[in-house]
Amino acid sequence: MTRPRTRLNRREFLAAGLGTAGVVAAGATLFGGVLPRLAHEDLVPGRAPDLQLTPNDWHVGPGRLSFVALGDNGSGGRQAMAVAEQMARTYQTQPFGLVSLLGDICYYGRFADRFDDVFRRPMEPLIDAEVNFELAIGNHDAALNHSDASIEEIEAELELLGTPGRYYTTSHGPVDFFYLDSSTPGLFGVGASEQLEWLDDALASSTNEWKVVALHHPIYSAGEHGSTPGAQERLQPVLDRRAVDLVLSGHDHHYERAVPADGITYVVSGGGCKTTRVGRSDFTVAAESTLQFVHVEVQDDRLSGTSIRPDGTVVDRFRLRAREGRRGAMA
Amino acid sequence: MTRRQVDIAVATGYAVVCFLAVLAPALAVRWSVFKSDIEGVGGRDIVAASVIIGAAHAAVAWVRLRSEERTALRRSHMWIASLNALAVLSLSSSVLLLVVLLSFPDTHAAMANRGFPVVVLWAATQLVAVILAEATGRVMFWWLEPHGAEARACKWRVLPAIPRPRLLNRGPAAPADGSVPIPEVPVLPVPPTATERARPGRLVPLESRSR
Repeated sequence: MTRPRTRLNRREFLAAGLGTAGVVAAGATLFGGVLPRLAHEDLVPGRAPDLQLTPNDWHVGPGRLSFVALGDNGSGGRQAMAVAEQMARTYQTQPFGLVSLLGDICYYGRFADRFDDVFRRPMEPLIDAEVNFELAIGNHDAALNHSDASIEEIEAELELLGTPGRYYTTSHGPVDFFYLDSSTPGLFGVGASEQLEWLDDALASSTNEWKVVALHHPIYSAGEHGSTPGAQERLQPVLDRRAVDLVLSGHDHHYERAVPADGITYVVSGGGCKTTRVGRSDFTVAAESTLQFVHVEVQDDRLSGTSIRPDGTVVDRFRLRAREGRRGAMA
Repeated sequence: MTRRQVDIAVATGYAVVCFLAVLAPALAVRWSVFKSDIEGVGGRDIVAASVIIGAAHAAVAWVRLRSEERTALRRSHMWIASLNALAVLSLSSSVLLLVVLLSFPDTHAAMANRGFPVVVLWAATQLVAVILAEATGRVMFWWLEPHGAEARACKWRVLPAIPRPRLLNRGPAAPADGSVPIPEVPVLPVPPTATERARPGRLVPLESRSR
Protein backbone atom coordinates (compact mmCIF):
# COMPACT_ATOMS: atom_id res chain seq x y z
CA MET A 1 0.00 0.00 0.00
CA THR A 2 1.36 3.46 -0.89
CA ARG A 3 2.43 5.57 2.11
CA PRO A 4 0.28 8.66 2.82
CA ARG A 5 1.67 11.91 1.46
CA THR A 6 2.86 14.07 4.37
CA ARG A 7 4.06 17.17 2.60
CA LEU A 8 1.67 19.87 1.46
CA ASN A 9 1.31 20.46 -2.19
CA ARG A 10 1.29 23.94 -3.64
CA ARG A 11 -2.45 24.41 -3.37
CA GLU A 12 -2.57 23.24 0.22
CA PHE A 13 0.40 25.40 1.17
CA LEU A 14 -1.22 28.46 -0.35
CA ALA A 15 -4.54 27.85 1.35
CA ALA A 16 -2.91 27.14 4.71
CA GLY A 17 -0.83 30.30 4.48
CA LEU A 18 -3.86 32.33 3.53
CA GLY A 19 -5.87 30.95 6.43
CA THR A 20 -3.10 31.52 8.95
CA ALA A 21 -2.47 35.05 7.78
CA GLY A 22 -6.18 35.71 7.79
CA VAL A 23 -6.62 34.54 11.37
CA VAL A 24 -3.62 36.57 12.56
CA ALA A 25 -4.85 39.66 10.72
CA ALA A 26 -8.35 39.15 12.07
CA GLY A 27 -7.07 38.93 15.62
CA ALA A 28 -4.94 42.03 15.28
CA THR A 29 -7.71 43.99 13.59
CA LEU A 30 -10.41 42.97 16.03
CA PHE A 31 -8.55 43.44 19.28
CA GLY A 32 -6.47 46.34 18.03
CA GLY A 33 -9.18 48.51 16.61
CA VAL A 34 -12.56 47.16 15.65
CA LEU A 35 -13.86 45.78 18.94
CA PRO A 36 -12.52 48.72 21.02
CA ARG A 37 -14.16 51.08 18.56
CA LEU A 38 -17.48 49.25 18.78
CA ALA A 39 -17.21 49.40 22.57
CA HIS A 40 -16.22 53.05 22.67
CA GLU A 41 -18.55 54.56 20.08
CA ASP A 42 -22.33 54.88 20.23
CA LEU A 43 -23.07 53.53 16.77
CA VAL A 44 -26.32 51.65 17.24
CA PRO A 45 -29.08 54.15 16.40
CA GLY A 46 -31.66 54.81 19.07
CA ARG A 47 -35.22 56.01 19.27
CA ALA A 48 -35.87 59.54 20.41
CA PRO A 49 -37.52 60.06 23.80
CA ASP A 50 -41.26 60.34 23.63
CA LEU A 51 -42.23 62.55 26.57
CA GLN A 52 -44.57 65.50 26.85
CA LEU A 53 -43.16 68.25 29.04
CA THR A 54 -44.86 71.32 30.41
CA PRO A 55 -43.39 74.36 28.66
CA ASN A 56 -41.70 77.08 30.68
CA ASP A 57 -42.10 75.12 33.88
CA TRP A 58 -38.89 76.36 35.44
CA HIS A 59 -38.27 79.27 37.75
CA VAL A 60 -35.98 82.10 36.88
CA GLY A 61 -35.78 84.98 39.23
CA PRO A 62 -33.27 87.40 40.69
CA GLY A 63 -31.78 84.69 42.86
CA ARG A 64 -32.85 81.45 41.21
CA LEU A 65 -31.85 79.37 38.19
CA SER A 66 -31.77 75.72 37.14
CA PHE A 67 -29.76 74.48 34.23
CA VAL A 68 -28.14 71.34 32.84
CA ALA A 69 -24.58 70.88 31.57
CA LEU A 70 -24.07 68.18 28.95
CA GLY A 71 -21.04 67.44 26.84
CA ASP A 72 -20.09 65.20 23.92
CA ASN A 73 -23.57 63.95 23.15
CA GLY A 74 -23.51 64.11 19.36
CA SER A 75 -23.97 60.49 18.28
CA GLY A 76 -27.70 60.07 17.80
CA GLY A 77 -27.25 56.56 19.13
CA ARG A 78 -28.95 54.60 21.86
CA GLN A 79 -26.75 55.89 24.62
CA ALA A 80 -27.24 59.51 23.63
CA MET A 81 -30.99 58.93 23.49
CA ALA A 82 -30.91 57.36 26.96
CA VAL A 83 -29.15 60.41 28.38
CA ALA A 84 -31.58 62.75 26.60
CA GLU A 85 -34.55 60.80 27.92
CA GLN A 86 -33.27 61.04 31.48
CA MET A 87 -32.79 64.79 31.00
CA ALA A 88 -36.44 65.03 29.98
CA ARG A 89 -37.50 62.95 33.00
CA THR A 90 -35.42 65.18 35.27
CA TYR A 91 -37.22 68.18 33.80
CA GLN A 92 -40.52 66.66 34.94
CA THR A 93 -39.41 66.68 38.59
CA GLN A 94 -36.81 69.46 38.62
CA PRO A 95 -37.53 71.75 35.67
CA PHE A 96 -34.68 73.69 34.17
CA GLY A 97 -34.70 76.44 31.59
CA LEU A 98 -31.25 76.12 30.09
CA VAL A 99 -29.00 73.43 28.65
CA SER A 100 -25.31 74.28 28.33
CA LEU A 101 -23.84 72.09 25.62
CA LEU A 102 -20.12 71.59 26.22
CA GLY A 103 -19.08 70.78 22.68
CA ASP A 104 -18.82 67.77 20.35
CA ILE A 105 -22.48 67.81 19.51
CA CYS A 106 -22.08 65.93 16.24
CA TYR A 107 -20.19 62.72 15.46
CA TYR A 108 -20.11 60.50 12.37
CA GLY A 109 -20.91 63.21 9.86
CA ARG A 110 -21.54 66.88 9.30
CA PHE A 111 -23.77 68.78 11.68
CA ALA A 112 -25.85 70.25 8.86
CA ASP A 113 -26.64 66.72 7.65
CA ARG A 114 -27.17 65.19 11.08
CA PHE A 115 -28.89 68.06 12.83
CA ASP A 116 -32.12 66.10 13.24
CA ASP A 117 -30.41 62.92 14.42
CA VAL A 118 -28.01 64.42 16.94
CA PHE A 119 -29.92 67.42 18.24
CA ARG A 120 -33.53 67.90 17.26
CA ARG A 121 -34.80 64.37 17.93
CA PRO A 122 -32.99 63.70 21.22
CA MET A 123 -33.86 67.12 22.59
CA GLU A 124 -37.34 67.37 21.09
CA PRO A 125 -39.19 67.16 24.44
CA LEU A 126 -36.99 69.94 25.84
CA ILE A 127 -37.19 71.99 22.65
CA ASP A 128 -40.98 71.76 22.77
CA ALA A 129 -40.80 72.86 26.42
CA GLU A 130 -38.96 75.97 25.17
CA VAL A 131 -35.77 75.24 27.04
CA ASN A 132 -32.84 77.38 25.86
CA PHE A 133 -29.72 75.79 24.45
CA GLU A 134 -26.30 77.42 24.58
CA LEU A 135 -23.18 75.99 23.06
CA ALA A 136 -19.48 75.98 23.85
CA ILE A 137 -17.69 75.06 20.64
CA GLY A 138 -15.97 71.69 20.72
CA ASN A 139 -13.65 69.88 18.42
CA HIS A 140 -14.31 66.18 18.11
CA ASP A 141 -11.22 65.81 15.98
CA ALA A 142 -9.38 66.13 19.29
CA ALA A 143 -6.92 68.54 17.75
CA LEU A 144 -6.64 72.26 18.22
CA ASN A 145 -6.34 72.82 14.51
CA HIS A 146 -8.21 75.02 12.14
CA SER A 147 -9.17 73.41 8.87
CA ASP A 148 -11.66 74.56 6.30
CA ALA A 149 -13.93 71.66 7.11
CA SER A 150 -13.69 72.43 10.80
CA ILE A 151 -14.59 76.08 10.24
CA GLU A 152 -17.58 75.11 8.12
CA GLU A 153 -18.71 72.72 10.80
CA ILE A 154 -18.48 75.35 13.51
CA GLU A 155 -20.34 77.90 11.37
CA ALA A 156 -23.12 75.38 10.81
CA GLU A 157 -23.41 74.73 14.53
CA LEU A 158 -23.60 78.43 15.33
CA GLU A 159 -26.24 79.05 12.70
CA LEU A 160 -28.48 76.08 13.42
CA LEU A 161 -28.40 76.59 17.18
CA GLY A 162 -28.67 80.34 17.07
CA THR A 163 -25.40 80.81 18.91
CA PRO A 164 -24.30 84.45 18.89
CA GLY A 165 -20.61 83.76 18.35
CA ARG A 166 -17.68 81.48 18.90
CA TYR A 167 -17.21 82.95 22.35
CA TYR A 168 -19.82 84.99 24.12
CA THR A 169 -21.48 85.68 27.44
CA THR A 170 -25.08 85.30 28.59
CA SER A 171 -26.90 86.10 31.78
CA HIS A 172 -29.70 84.07 33.36
CA GLY A 173 -30.98 85.04 36.78
CA PRO A 174 -28.11 85.18 39.27
CA VAL A 175 -25.62 83.48 36.91
CA ASP A 176 -23.39 84.93 34.21
CA PHE A 177 -22.23 82.34 31.70
CA PHE A 178 -19.03 82.70 29.67
CA TYR A 179 -18.76 80.34 26.71
CA LEU A 180 -15.32 79.83 25.21
CA ASP A 181 -14.16 78.33 21.95
CA SER A 182 -11.31 76.10 23.06
CA SER A 183 -10.81 74.83 19.53
CA THR A 184 -9.17 78.13 18.59
CA PRO A 185 -5.41 77.82 18.34
CA GLY A 186 -3.70 80.13 20.77
CA LEU A 187 -6.32 79.94 23.51
CA PHE A 188 -3.88 77.89 25.56
CA GLY A 189 -0.72 78.62 23.61
CA VAL A 190 2.12 81.01 24.10
CA GLY A 191 1.14 84.63 23.59
CA ALA A 192 -2.08 86.31 24.66
CA SER A 193 -5.03 85.57 22.41
CA GLU A 194 -7.90 87.82 21.57
CA GLN A 195 -10.29 85.42 23.28
CA LEU A 196 -8.39 85.47 26.59
CA GLU A 197 -8.41 89.23 26.60
CA TRP A 198 -12.12 89.28 25.88
CA LEU A 199 -12.70 86.82 28.73
CA ASP A 200 -10.70 88.90 31.15
CA ASP A 201 -12.69 92.02 30.27
CA ALA A 202 -16.04 90.21 30.35
CA LEU A 203 -15.34 88.67 33.75
CA ALA A 204 -14.18 91.99 35.10
CA SER A 205 -17.39 93.71 34.04
CA SER A 206 -19.64 90.91 35.38
CA THR A 207 -21.57 91.95 38.46
CA ASN A 208 -23.75 88.91 38.93
CA GLU A 209 -23.51 86.68 41.99
CA TRP A 210 -22.29 83.59 40.13
CA LYS A 211 -19.76 83.25 37.32
CA VAL A 212 -19.74 80.04 35.33
CA VAL A 213 -17.29 79.39 32.50
CA ALA A 214 -18.09 76.69 29.94
CA LEU A 215 -15.59 75.34 27.45
CA HIS A 216 -14.98 72.05 25.70
CA HIS A 217 -11.39 71.17 26.65
CA PRO A 218 -10.90 70.51 30.36
CA ILE A 219 -8.37 72.32 32.47
CA TYR A 220 -8.19 69.47 34.96
CA SER A 221 -8.92 65.91 33.87
CA ALA A 222 -7.70 62.46 34.83
CA GLY A 223 -9.30 60.92 31.78
CA GLU A 224 -8.08 59.67 28.43
CA HIS A 225 -7.24 63.07 26.97
CA GLY A 226 -6.21 64.48 30.32
CA SER A 227 -5.70 68.07 31.35
CA THR A 228 -5.40 70.28 28.27
CA PRO A 229 -1.79 71.38 27.73
CA GLY A 230 -1.34 75.07 28.41
CA ALA A 231 -4.75 75.54 30.03
CA GLN A 232 -3.49 75.80 33.59
CA GLU A 233 -0.76 78.21 32.54
CA ARG A 234 -2.79 80.46 30.27
CA LEU A 235 -6.45 80.28 31.28
CA GLN A 236 -6.42 79.48 34.98
CA PRO A 237 -4.73 82.76 36.04
CA VAL A 238 -7.53 84.69 34.33
CA LEU A 239 -10.16 82.61 36.10
CA ASP A 240 -8.42 83.02 39.45
CA ARG A 241 -8.01 86.75 39.02
CA ARG A 242 -11.69 87.27 38.22
CA ALA A 243 -13.03 84.90 40.92
CA VAL A 244 -14.94 82.44 38.75
CA ASP A 245 -17.06 79.96 40.70
CA LEU A 246 -17.55 76.99 38.40
CA VAL A 247 -15.84 75.75 35.24
CA LEU A 248 -17.70 73.20 33.14
CA SER A 249 -16.01 71.22 30.37
CA GLY A 250 -16.35 68.06 28.30
CA HIS A 251 -14.01 66.38 25.80
CA ASP A 252 -13.17 63.47 28.09
CA HIS A 253 -16.12 61.11 28.18
CA HIS A 254 -16.59 60.72 31.88
CA TYR A 255 -17.64 62.65 34.95
CA GLU A 256 -15.04 64.22 37.18
CA ARG A 257 -14.93 66.89 39.85
CA ALA A 258 -11.62 68.35 40.91
CA VAL A 259 -10.45 69.69 44.23
CA PRO A 260 -11.35 73.39 44.29
CA ALA A 261 -8.40 75.48 43.27
CA ASP A 262 -8.46 79.09 44.48
CA GLY A 263 -12.18 78.77 45.09
CA ILE A 264 -12.94 77.45 41.58
CA THR A 265 -14.62 74.08 41.13
CA TYR A 266 -13.72 72.29 37.91
CA VAL A 267 -16.21 69.76 36.59
CA VAL A 268 -15.87 67.49 33.54
CA SER A 269 -19.26 66.42 32.18
CA GLY A 270 -18.40 64.62 28.96
CA GLY A 271 -20.51 61.47 29.26
CA GLY A 272 -23.22 62.54 26.86
CA CYS A 273 -23.12 59.43 24.69
CA LYS A 274 -19.81 57.62 25.11
CA THR A 275 -17.61 56.59 27.97
CA THR A 276 -13.84 56.46 28.25
CA ARG A 277 -11.78 55.38 31.17
CA VAL A 278 -10.83 57.75 33.92
CA GLY A 279 -8.20 57.41 36.60
CA ARG A 280 -7.51 59.30 39.77
CA SER A 281 -5.16 62.22 40.09
CA ASP A 282 -4.11 64.37 43.02
CA PHE A 283 -6.74 66.89 42.00
CA THR A 284 -9.64 64.40 41.67
CA VAL A 285 -12.42 64.42 44.24
CA ALA A 286 -14.94 62.29 42.36
CA ALA A 287 -14.65 60.52 39.03
CA GLU A 288 -16.54 57.85 37.16
CA SER A 289 -16.55 56.53 33.63
CA THR A 290 -20.28 56.68 32.94
CA LEU A 291 -22.98 58.23 30.83
CA GLN A 292 -24.28 61.28 32.67
CA PHE A 293 -25.22 64.96 32.70
CA VAL A 294 -25.01 67.54 35.47
CA HIS A 295 -28.10 69.26 36.81
CA VAL A 296 -27.36 72.53 38.62
CA GLU A 297 -29.69 74.49 40.84
CA VAL A 298 -28.82 77.98 41.97
CA GLN A 299 -30.74 79.63 44.73
CA ASP A 300 -29.41 82.89 46.12
CA ASP A 301 -25.94 82.17 47.53
CA ARG A 302 -26.15 78.37 47.17
CA LEU A 303 -25.36 76.32 44.13
CA SER A 304 -25.92 72.58 44.10
CA GLY A 305 -24.87 70.26 41.33
CA THR A 306 -25.91 66.67 40.74
CA SER A 307 -24.45 64.32 38.18
CA ILE A 308 -27.16 61.94 37.00
CA ARG A 309 -26.91 58.69 35.05
CA PRO A 310 -29.45 57.62 32.37
CA ASP A 311 -31.18 55.35 34.87
CA GLY A 312 -31.72 58.26 37.27
CA THR A 313 -29.10 57.26 39.82
CA VAL A 314 -26.69 59.86 41.13
CA VAL A 315 -22.98 59.84 40.38
CA ASP A 316 -21.95 62.80 42.51
CA ARG A 317 -23.33 65.79 44.37
CA PHE A 318 -21.60 69.01 45.21
CA ARG A 319 -22.58 72.32 46.77
CA LEU A 320 -20.97 75.70 46.46
CA ARG A 321 -21.52 78.92 48.26
CA ALA A 322 -21.27 82.26 46.60
CA ARG A 323 -17.99 84.11 46.86
CA GLU A 324 -19.26 86.78 49.15
CA GLY A 325 -18.76 85.71 52.69
CA ARG A 326 -16.95 82.42 52.23
CA ARG A 327 -14.46 80.98 49.77
CA GLY A 328 -14.11 77.31 48.76
CA ALA A 329 -16.51 74.51 47.92
CA MET A 330 -18.62 72.41 50.27
CA ALA A 331 -19.33 68.91 48.95
CA MET B 1 -9.82 9.13 24.46
CA THR B 2 -10.70 7.37 21.27
CA ARG B 3 -10.13 8.95 17.91
CA ARG B 4 -13.84 9.54 17.48
CA GLN B 5 -14.04 11.35 20.80
CA VAL B 6 -11.11 13.53 19.83
CA ASP B 7 -12.79 14.37 16.53
CA ILE B 8 -16.00 15.31 18.25
CA ALA B 9 -14.19 17.40 20.86
CA VAL B 10 -12.17 19.30 18.29
CA ALA B 11 -15.22 19.96 16.12
CA THR B 12 -17.10 21.19 19.20
CA GLY B 13 -14.21 23.49 20.11
CA TYR B 14 -14.21 24.96 16.62
CA ALA B 15 -17.97 25.50 16.81
CA VAL B 16 -17.57 27.34 20.12
CA VAL B 17 -14.92 29.63 18.60
CA CYS B 18 -17.28 30.43 15.72
CA PHE B 19 -20.04 31.21 18.18
CA LEU B 20 -17.80 33.60 20.10
CA ALA B 21 -16.68 35.31 16.90
CA VAL B 22 -20.30 36.12 16.07
CA LEU B 23 -21.11 37.21 19.64
CA ALA B 24 -18.03 39.41 20.14
CA PRO B 25 -19.35 42.60 18.47
CA ALA B 26 -22.56 42.56 20.52
CA LEU B 27 -20.60 42.09 23.73
CA ALA B 28 -18.30 44.95 22.71
CA VAL B 29 -21.28 47.26 22.22
CA ARG B 30 -22.70 46.25 25.58
CA TRP B 31 -19.33 46.51 27.30
CA SER B 32 -19.42 50.22 27.98
CA VAL B 33 -22.91 49.93 29.42
CA PHE B 34 -21.93 46.92 31.50
CA LYS B 35 -18.80 48.67 32.71
CA SER B 36 -20.81 51.70 33.77
CA ASP B 37 -23.42 49.51 35.44
CA ILE B 38 -26.22 51.45 33.76
CA GLU B 39 -29.63 50.07 33.09
CA GLY B 40 -32.10 51.41 30.59
CA VAL B 41 -29.64 51.97 27.78
CA GLY B 42 -30.60 48.82 25.92
CA GLY B 43 -28.49 46.47 23.88
CA ARG B 44 -29.88 43.17 25.10
CA ASP B 45 -31.77 42.75 21.84
CA ILE B 46 -28.61 42.81 19.73
CA VAL B 47 -26.91 40.40 22.14
CA ALA B 48 -29.89 38.06 21.82
CA ALA B 49 -29.80 38.32 18.02
CA SER B 50 -26.08 37.53 18.00
CA VAL B 51 -26.59 34.57 20.33
CA ILE B 52 -29.23 33.08 18.02
CA ILE B 53 -27.21 33.58 14.84
CA GLY B 54 -24.00 32.45 16.51
CA ALA B 55 -25.57 29.29 17.88
CA ALA B 56 -27.09 28.41 14.52
CA HIS B 57 -23.81 28.97 12.75
CA ALA B 58 -21.93 26.92 15.36
CA ALA B 59 -24.30 24.02 14.78
CA VAL B 60 -23.91 24.26 11.01
CA ALA B 61 -20.12 24.43 11.32
CA TRP B 62 -20.09 21.40 13.62
CA VAL B 63 -22.18 19.33 11.20
CA ARG B 64 -20.01 20.43 8.28
CA LEU B 65 -16.84 19.40 10.07
CA ARG B 66 -18.20 16.00 11.07
CA SER B 67 -19.34 15.41 7.52
CA GLU B 68 -16.00 16.46 6.06
CA GLU B 69 -14.18 14.17 8.47
CA ARG B 70 -15.85 11.20 6.81
CA THR B 71 -15.48 12.31 3.21
CA ALA B 72 -12.13 14.09 3.20
CA LEU B 73 -9.29 12.37 1.41
CA ARG B 74 -6.89 14.28 3.65
CA ARG B 75 -7.77 15.64 7.06
CA SER B 76 -5.56 18.66 6.48
CA HIS B 77 -7.96 19.83 3.75
CA MET B 78 -10.73 20.02 6.27
CA TRP B 79 -8.76 22.08 8.77
CA ILE B 80 -7.25 24.41 6.19
CA ALA B 81 -10.73 25.15 4.87
CA SER B 82 -12.05 25.67 8.41
CA LEU B 83 -9.17 28.02 9.23
CA ASN B 84 -10.02 30.17 6.23
CA ALA B 85 -13.69 30.13 7.16
CA LEU B 86 -12.84 31.26 10.70
CA ALA B 87 -10.72 34.13 9.40
CA VAL B 88 -13.54 35.33 7.16
CA LEU B 89 -16.08 34.98 9.98
CA SER B 90 -13.97 36.86 12.53
CA LEU B 91 -13.34 39.77 10.21
CA SER B 92 -16.72 40.05 8.57
CA SER B 93 -18.83 39.70 11.72
CA SER B 94 -17.21 42.82 13.20
CA VAL B 95 -15.79 44.87 10.34
CA LEU B 96 -18.95 44.58 8.29
CA LEU B 97 -20.99 45.88 11.23
CA LEU B 98 -18.64 48.78 11.75
CA VAL B 99 -18.73 49.72 8.07
CA VAL B 100 -22.52 49.46 7.82
CA LEU B 101 -23.15 51.49 10.98
CA LEU B 102 -20.55 54.17 10.21
CA SER B 103 -21.34 54.54 6.54
CA PHE B 104 -25.03 55.33 6.78
CA PRO B 105 -25.71 56.92 10.18
CA ASP B 106 -28.40 59.25 8.82
CA THR B 107 -30.32 56.45 7.16
CA HIS B 108 -30.14 54.24 10.21
CA ALA B 109 -31.19 57.01 12.58
CA ALA B 110 -34.16 57.87 10.39
CA MET B 111 -35.15 54.23 10.25
CA ALA B 112 -34.86 53.86 14.01
CA ASN B 113 -37.04 56.87 14.62
CA ARG B 114 -39.69 55.58 12.27
CA GLY B 115 -39.91 52.49 14.45
CA PHE B 116 -37.83 50.14 12.33
CA PRO B 117 -36.23 47.63 14.68
CA VAL B 118 -32.52 48.24 14.55
CA VAL B 119 -31.91 44.69 15.70
CA VAL B 120 -33.03 43.52 12.24
CA LEU B 121 -30.23 45.53 10.64
CA TRP B 122 -27.76 44.06 13.13
CA ALA B 123 -28.98 40.50 12.57
CA ALA B 124 -28.97 40.86 8.78
CA THR B 125 -25.38 42.09 8.77
CA GLN B 126 -24.26 39.19 10.94
CA LEU B 127 -26.17 36.74 8.76
CA VAL B 128 -24.26 37.99 5.72
CA ALA B 129 -21.01 37.46 7.62
CA VAL B 130 -21.99 33.90 8.55
CA ILE B 131 -22.99 33.06 4.97
CA LEU B 132 -19.68 34.41 3.68
CA ALA B 133 -17.78 32.29 6.19
CA GLU B 134 -19.68 29.10 5.36
CA ALA B 135 -19.27 29.66 1.65
CA THR B 136 -15.54 30.21 2.13
CA GLY B 137 -15.17 27.00 4.11
CA ARG B 138 -17.08 24.87 1.65
CA VAL B 139 -15.51 26.30 -1.48
CA MET B 140 -12.03 26.03 0.00
CA PHE B 141 -12.63 22.42 0.96
CA TRP B 142 -13.90 21.60 -2.54
CA TRP B 143 -10.91 23.36 -4.06
CA LEU B 144 -8.41 21.42 -1.98
CA GLU B 145 -9.93 17.99 -2.40
CA PRO B 146 -8.83 16.02 -5.51
CA HIS B 147 -11.63 15.18 -7.90
CA GLY B 148 -12.35 12.59 -10.60
CA ALA B 149 -9.59 10.17 -11.55
CA GLU B 150 -7.17 11.62 -9.09
CA ALA B 151 -9.61 10.97 -6.24
CA ARG B 152 -10.24 7.42 -7.44
CA ALA B 153 -6.51 6.76 -7.63
CA CYS B 154 -5.92 8.02 -4.16
CA LYS B 155 -4.75 5.22 -1.94
CA TRP B 156 -4.00 7.03 1.25
CA ARG B 157 -7.49 7.49 2.63
CA VAL B 158 -7.13 8.30 6.29
CA LEU B 159 -10.44 6.91 7.39
CA PRO B 160 -12.26 3.95 5.95
CA ALA B 161 -14.68 4.88 3.25
CA ILE B 162 -18.33 5.06 4.08
CA PRO B 163 -19.48 1.42 4.01
CA ARG B 164 -21.42 0.65 0.87
CA PRO B 165 -24.88 -0.90 1.20
CA ARG B 166 -24.95 -4.71 1.10
CA LEU B 167 -25.93 -6.42 -2.14
CA LEU B 168 -29.24 -8.33 -2.25
CA ASN B 169 -27.57 -11.45 -3.73
CA ARG B 170 -25.61 -12.94 -0.85
CA GLY B 171 -24.27 -15.99 -2.68
CA PRO B 172 -25.49 -19.69 -2.79
CA ALA B 173 -28.35 -20.68 -0.48
CA ALA B 174 -27.70 -22.92 2.54
CA PRO B 175 -28.35 -26.69 2.10
CA ALA B 176 -31.87 -27.87 3.04
CA ASP B 177 -30.59 -30.67 5.37
CA GLY B 178 -28.87 -28.12 7.62
CA SER B 179 -25.34 -29.29 6.91
CA VAL B 180 -22.63 -26.72 6.68
CA PRO B 181 -21.25 -26.50 3.15
CA ILE B 182 -17.54 -26.97 2.85
CA PRO B 183 -16.17 -23.90 1.11
CA GLU B 184 -13.92 -24.48 -1.81
CA VAL B 185 -10.37 -23.54 -1.16
CA PRO B 186 -8.87 -21.88 -4.20
CA VAL B 187 -5.66 -23.42 -5.43
CA LEU B 188 -2.98 -20.83 -5.60
CA PRO B 189 -0.30 -21.11 -8.24
CA VAL B 190 3.00 -22.37 -6.90
CA PRO B 191 5.82 -19.92 -7.47
CA PRO B 192 8.62 -21.32 -9.66
CA THR B 193 11.70 -22.61 -7.88
CA ALA B 194 15.08 -21.13 -8.42
CA THR B 195 16.03 -23.96 -10.79
CA GLU B 196 12.93 -23.36 -12.84
CA ARG B 197 13.52 -19.65 -12.93
CA ALA B 198 17.04 -20.38 -14.23
CA ARG B 199 15.58 -22.38 -17.10
CA PRO B 200 12.96 -20.11 -18.60
CA GLY B 201 10.70 -21.45 -21.25
CA ARG B 202 10.26 -24.93 -19.79
CA LEU B 203 6.79 -25.46 -18.55
CA VAL B 204 6.27 -27.95 -15.74
CA PRO B 205 2.80 -29.40 -15.22
CA LEU B 206 1.15 -28.63 -11.87
CA GLU B 207 0.84 -32.31 -10.85
CA SER B 208 4.57 -33.07 -11.12
CA ARG B 209 5.69 -30.16 -8.96
CA SER B 210 6.82 -30.92 -5.47
CA ARG B 211 5.51 -28.71 -2.69
